[in-house]
Amino acid sequence: MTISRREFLKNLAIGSALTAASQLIPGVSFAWEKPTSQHGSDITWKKAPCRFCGTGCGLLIGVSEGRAVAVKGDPQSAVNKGLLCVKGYHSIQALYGEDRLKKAMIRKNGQMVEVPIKEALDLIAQKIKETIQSHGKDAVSMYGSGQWTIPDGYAASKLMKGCIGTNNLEANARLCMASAVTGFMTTFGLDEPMGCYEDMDHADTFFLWGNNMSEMHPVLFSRILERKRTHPRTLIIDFATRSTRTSVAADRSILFRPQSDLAVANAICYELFRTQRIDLSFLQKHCSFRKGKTQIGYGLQDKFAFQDTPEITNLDEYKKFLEDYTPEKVEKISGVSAEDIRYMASLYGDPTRNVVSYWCMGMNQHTRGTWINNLVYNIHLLVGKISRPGNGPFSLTGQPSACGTVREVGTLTHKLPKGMVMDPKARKFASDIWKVPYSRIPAKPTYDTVEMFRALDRGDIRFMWIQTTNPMVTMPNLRRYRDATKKQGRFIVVSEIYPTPTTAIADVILPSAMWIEREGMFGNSERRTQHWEKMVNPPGDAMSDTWQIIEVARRLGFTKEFPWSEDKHIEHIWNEYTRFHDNPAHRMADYETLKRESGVIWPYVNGRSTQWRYNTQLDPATKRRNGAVDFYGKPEGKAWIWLRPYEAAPEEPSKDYPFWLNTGRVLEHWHTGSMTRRIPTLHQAVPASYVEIHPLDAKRLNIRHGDKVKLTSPRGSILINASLNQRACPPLGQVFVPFFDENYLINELTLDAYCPISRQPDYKKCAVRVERA
Amino acid sequence: MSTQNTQHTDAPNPSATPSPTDTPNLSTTSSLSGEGFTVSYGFIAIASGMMLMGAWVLVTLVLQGIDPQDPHKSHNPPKAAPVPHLAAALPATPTLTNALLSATPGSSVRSLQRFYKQRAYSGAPPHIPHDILEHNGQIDACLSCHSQGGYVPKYNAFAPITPHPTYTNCVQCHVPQRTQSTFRPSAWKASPRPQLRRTALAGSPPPIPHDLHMRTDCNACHAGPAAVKEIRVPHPERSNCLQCHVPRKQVPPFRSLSPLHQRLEKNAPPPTPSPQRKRP
Repeated sequence: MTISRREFLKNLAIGSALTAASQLIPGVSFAWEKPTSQHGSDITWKKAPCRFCGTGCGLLIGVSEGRAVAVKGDPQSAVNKGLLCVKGYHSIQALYGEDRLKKAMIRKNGQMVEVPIKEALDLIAQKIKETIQSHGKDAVSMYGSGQWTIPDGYAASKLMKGCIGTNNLEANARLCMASAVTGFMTTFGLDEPMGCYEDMDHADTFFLWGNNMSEMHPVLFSRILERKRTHPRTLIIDFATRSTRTSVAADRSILFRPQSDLAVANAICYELFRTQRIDLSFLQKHCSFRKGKTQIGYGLQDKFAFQDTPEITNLDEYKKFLEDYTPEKVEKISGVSAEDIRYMASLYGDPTRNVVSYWCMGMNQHTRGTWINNLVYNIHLLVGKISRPGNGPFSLTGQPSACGTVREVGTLTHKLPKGMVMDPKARKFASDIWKVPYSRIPAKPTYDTVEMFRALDRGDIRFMWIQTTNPMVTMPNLRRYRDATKKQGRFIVVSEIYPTPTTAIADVILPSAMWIEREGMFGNSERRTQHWEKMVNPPGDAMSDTWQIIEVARRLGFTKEFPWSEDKHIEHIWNEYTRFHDNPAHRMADYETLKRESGVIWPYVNGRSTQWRYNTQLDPATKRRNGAVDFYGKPEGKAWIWLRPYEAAPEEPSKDYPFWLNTGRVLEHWHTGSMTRRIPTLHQAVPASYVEIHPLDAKRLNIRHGDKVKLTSPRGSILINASLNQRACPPLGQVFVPFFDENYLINELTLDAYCPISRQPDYKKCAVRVERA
Repeated sequence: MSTQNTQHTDAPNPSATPSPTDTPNLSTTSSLSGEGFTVSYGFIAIASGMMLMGAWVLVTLVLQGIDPQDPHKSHNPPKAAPVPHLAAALPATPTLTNALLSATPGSSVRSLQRFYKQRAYSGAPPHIPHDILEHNGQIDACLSCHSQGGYVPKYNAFAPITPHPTYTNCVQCHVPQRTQSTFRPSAWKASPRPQLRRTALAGSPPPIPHDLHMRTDCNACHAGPAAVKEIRVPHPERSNCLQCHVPRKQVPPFRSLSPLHQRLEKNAPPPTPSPQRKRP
């Protein structure tokens, strides 16, 4: 017998035996029966940050046969430790809506016509040139987003400020993070939080200021719940204007009247002095006192101008200022009992407690957004609970790269990647790296977001390129700005992935490659930069926003400034961009490190992330090492404690409009829902928007759950279904409407008043009438 | 050698036996790799092994009161529904307790098909198939049923047990369905569901086809009356699951298999001896 023959017979025997076996025992199958690909087991897993909120969860995306097929939480990610929320788990389904934009479109005789993408890019470049010729550089504008990747924002900044030479560059983060930025800048002189998410593993007292964290940052909220489970002393205080899932999970839910958080924050400081819980040595060493202008207005008029002037003051004046804010006086303004105010102060002041304060849109979308940010910093500074593990104020973000792109790259009218346009040194620095003439970068900021749309309405702006955002759902006082885009002589370019109310007003639509269809980086709330590689191909002609900008820039003649090849441009952009931040206070990780790690916190110095900035033990950028902290963003290393008073909201409930209107998000949908509504699981959970009404208000108005309700503000009205006793409940005299649903444009009712310092609009407060329809 | 797997998971075969992995007869496959193996002896061994296995399967089915022709039909008369809160009333060894309870005929047993339909892809958090009471003053109300399990008369079903009861913000990942419609049609395609019981050898313990993160309490899903029948373990009393069942990682084997096994892995047809082939 030959070997081969024996082998043949052996094979035959095995084959027949296996056939017999699998027929006899249907439950048993054999590893070698089928090629593995038929069972989906050839999935390769690649890391990416989540596409949705600013938490920045680490995802592992399963890719099989050129498609994203599964998601799991990345156990290596220090952000989420393997847990995600329902949006993250289903995020990849947002790639596969059947109505994905695959071709460029141009409006011809009122109709959108599909064209080759080259033709659309040519037209955009031509329109920019024409507009500059006829109306000047400042008639051309770009409106981006906190969902821009870092390279998107960097390319946009270089094109607009360095090449075209206009400061008409804004991003929708103006509508969500601007007050946090001005809050940080005015108190500490440097933007972004000093702490990180690891604070949650060290703190035992969590204050949530107007932050429905269980729905808006669910993964972080689960980390807090885990802390509470393993550390029973933990307390969660939900300080909010309506009762939510977060209130239910909290140890104490304290409701306050809209806008009165200003008064309560001051009252807490008053109590800290009265009970002698102040860390006086910290105060003397690390803080100084400032007061600014008061009665500063609400930015409701076109061309509104305001400049705050800080004035040096002292501890005694501050104490005198606080006398207006005794718990008893504030109880009358805020509706928060003096006892609750004392309780909160006692927790902040308790030397045995580690306290973190979290907030997001509640404090930022506020006509005194900068002030309330300052006031919460005051509390932490007074008790010295800042810049050390488990202690500190922490401003959360709502978009995946509001920090990374808008705040760090500086895609705002007054900003450059490092410093402000007003600063000659910053302009010189930028022009050197960009290799553009110094004189080309204009020294004067132009328009903030609201004012940019007002300029479009007036005709000062003629051309606008909108990328990665949906302003025709999100602008407050929406009607005015939608009508503006439709005016004669306006040219609107929209880069999008799906048809939205914003593509509906576009003259050119560019199909964009989304998220994992291209390479990119996001920067989350805790200064963490995360890189992902391209995992799947974009559909049709879709192109990344970065590459769209490069294509247009080259058509405008800026080939020298945008020389990068298509396969390496992200790496080249990163290397050029990080030169702006090459200092110990802001150094970013190199490209290879980013590719390797599931995320890196800056300042990244000597191969180490700096988790707690300003801490002299932990932050290599600190210079004055004789105390616990060095707030090196301000002269003398001292943070500023601001004397900020309570001032009323611009529009309060009245006889004709007796209800407060609050707007916001729900867990299942993200922003305007253009992605999450196309995810079946999420749409099926919350198919439509609604108005939450207090059951007693509803009873009085004869409204039952599910009834059609008419909401009217001085700016417009909508019909929408009532929601009673569902996931959240507003107090008497207040209603709440989520803004994700383009069929119920609640922003037609909201007011375009903003914080005069940050110029961020207030979506949380205006007056409406509620009627049964 | 078209040994097609009858247990393709997208259309689960109802004739699956609940306990095939416990096959006591290991002689067939273990002897396959032996070098001193001769053809005639092999045939005998395989044939007798198969007969034993077949007999064992039949006996198992009969013992369980299942008609091999129609596994849904039971020879036993339907039992009365058990006391609804039996599981809760028994001492606190929930997984074992539940494992001892068998599903009540007549109660809606979860099928594998439904199990998959509730998940956008394998590993996705399932949606909530029933109404939930919002604003009830409790964040972890779900756990009152889903931490211990037990019979729920309202749904005539046993509540599935969560494998990760320490996570209490349940609605963060699990959401109800208020509509069956979609906002816009979706071209989403889930990858095929993992094949069950991919034993390397007949009778050897099947590897774990899913991630273990948040799923380390195996008995929560693989035992008890709420468990999907096809993934129910026949020996829930053996609690050190990872002793025998290991996660199936997407990595190349530590040592390559014999040339024969490699060919079989690739599903290549066995080589036919070539007449031109010269002897070595």
